[in-house]
Amino acid sequence: MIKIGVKFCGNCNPDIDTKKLFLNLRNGLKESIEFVYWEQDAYEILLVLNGCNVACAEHPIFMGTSIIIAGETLDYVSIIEEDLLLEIERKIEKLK
Amino acid sequence: MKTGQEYIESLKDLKTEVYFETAKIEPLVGHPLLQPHINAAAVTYDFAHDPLYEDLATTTSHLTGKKINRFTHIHQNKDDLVKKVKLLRLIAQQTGSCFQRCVGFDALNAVYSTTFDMDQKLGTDYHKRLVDYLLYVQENDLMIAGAMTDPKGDRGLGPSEQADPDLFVRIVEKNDKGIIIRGAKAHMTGMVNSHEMLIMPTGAMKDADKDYAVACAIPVDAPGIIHIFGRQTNDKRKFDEMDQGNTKYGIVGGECLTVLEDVFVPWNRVFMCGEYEFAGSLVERFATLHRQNYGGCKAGVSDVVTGATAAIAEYNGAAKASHIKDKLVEMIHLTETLYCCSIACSQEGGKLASGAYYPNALLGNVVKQNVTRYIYEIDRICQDIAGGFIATLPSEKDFNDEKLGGYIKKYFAGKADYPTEHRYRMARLIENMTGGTALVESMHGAGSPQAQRIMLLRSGNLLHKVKLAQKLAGITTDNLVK
Ligand SMILES: Cc1cc2nc3c(=O)[nH]c(=O)nc-3n(C[C@H](O)[C@H](O)[C@H](O)COP(=O)(O)OP(=O)(O)OC[C@H]3O[C@@H](n4cnc5c(N)ncnc54)[C@H](O)[C@@H]3O)c2cc1C
Repeated sequence: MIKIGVKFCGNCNPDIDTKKLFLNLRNGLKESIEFVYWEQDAYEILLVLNGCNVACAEHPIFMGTSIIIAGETLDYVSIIEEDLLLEIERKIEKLK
Repeated sequence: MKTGQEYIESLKDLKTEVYFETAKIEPLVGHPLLQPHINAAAVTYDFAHDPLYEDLATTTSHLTGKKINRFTHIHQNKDDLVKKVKLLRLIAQQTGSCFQRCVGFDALNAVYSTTFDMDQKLGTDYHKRLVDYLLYVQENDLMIAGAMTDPKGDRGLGPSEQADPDLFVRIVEKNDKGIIIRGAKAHMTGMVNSHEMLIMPTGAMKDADKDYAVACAIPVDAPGIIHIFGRQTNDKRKFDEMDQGNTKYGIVGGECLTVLEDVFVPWNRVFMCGEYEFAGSLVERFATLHRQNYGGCKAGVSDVVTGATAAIAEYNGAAKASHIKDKLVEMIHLTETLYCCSIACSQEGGKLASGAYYPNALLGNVVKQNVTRYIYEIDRICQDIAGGFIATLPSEKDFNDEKLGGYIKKYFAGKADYPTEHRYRMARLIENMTGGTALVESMHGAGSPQAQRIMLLRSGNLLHKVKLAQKLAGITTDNLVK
């Protein structure tokens, strides 16, 4: 089972519901992925969840692969909120 | 990087066809109608060589690693976005006018990121073409006119629905060498003294508008292109000195109507050709990048207007009155509010898929919406303090006349500490900077107010606000207002 570190931005004025997105992601992948707090554990992938495209969340020093959500974008490519979950799952599958 | 003089010399090599009141303007350089705008654009070149200003006016190309003029740059981080605003304020303070070069700068940035997205989705090679073009622009330090606004005819109809099909620029032919386009672009800032133009569609488009979804670059003197120079309030005063107000730099950007009569564009200069589904996002990117500017350049222009107001109050002998001081404070407050918004939308900018940085769209639209109001208020206060003589002053010729000049100097005198000529000159600066053509630019340049309000509604995240209120009101989240 691989581990993914998760970091949220401060969510001051979010365009997307990153909490819901994360819970749905965790729920869908619970058999194969362990999601851990970004500061606590070692992990293979870092998922940074920003509520909007200002992308304020400071990127922790991390040598592995990151997935950056910033509002309705995944790694800076536009994706509507409804499709984000699926696209993150696809990306994780590719990186595994 | 070119100097201002080298830029001016380079214009002499072009065969740009410009008309005013039926006559062809020849030569362009040195002509009183055009020279103030050329002077203003030249400042964007000179500042790149001035140690005092180069930190803002230059940067490093992300393509070549070479030092380039910032007006040819693609924003690589938030600092670039902030420095753009600061540069625009600086140049506007020094010119009190429009120096035109931001439009092409914004067009390059908008087309850069959009072509990247297009290639990712469609497998086209537009971005590579744009990068090659950008290298050419940076290498030659070119001035590019940003050509978005079409004449648009019936505003209730789309491009393909117009009675006259040429009311939006369109592709009339494609062949193995390139495309041929026809139509016109209206209100073209700095076009007549640019080297090239970057054509973009005016708005979002549908399948039927395919032929109108065109972005491309062409020299301003390409065969088939003519420019009809626009009138400005008081433009005949460009043949005078004092009566112009801002003699060296004029007002606004020397706009024109650019007619494209079957103009050939080679494929390597075509950046969109029928991909109508990307027209909307290109327009939105350009609009946000351009609206970002207005709290920079208009703040700089307002700094001059505020200074002119304080000076004329002093010449009038009214500077110590408390209402005058209070009004000057209001002008400063409004100006800095505009600036705050531009800095904020830059600081809150983000990265796009292409790696380029882009201002925050919501805040960028707030900037421009404020400009459509605050500049009018700033200018209203200025005219209030200046007094009615800014509208009734006799001419410069009479001022200098042997018989009449004495009366003008006697009866238009203010506080005895200052010569009447200072009061006269300041009044002319105010008259020209706060009325007519200069004001309209704040209303419609970078889009009319309603265009920003549409964006505010779209990016204002209203549903989030509803959820916040419902939560505090004790309404369960299963019953949200849609
Ligand atoms: C000084 C100056 C410099 C400029 N420089 C440039 C430049 O360098 N490059 C460039 O590309 N453009 C430039 N522009 C053009 C500018 O972007 C346009 O003026 C602006 O987008 C408004 O378009 P318009 O002038 O055709 O006005 P219109 O679109 O005719 O708008 C007039 C009014 O009608 C409303 N309206 C328009 N269409 C509709 C509709 N379908 N439904 C309801 N209401 C509608 C508008 O909201 C507005 O209130 C410049 C303009 C000015 C004044």
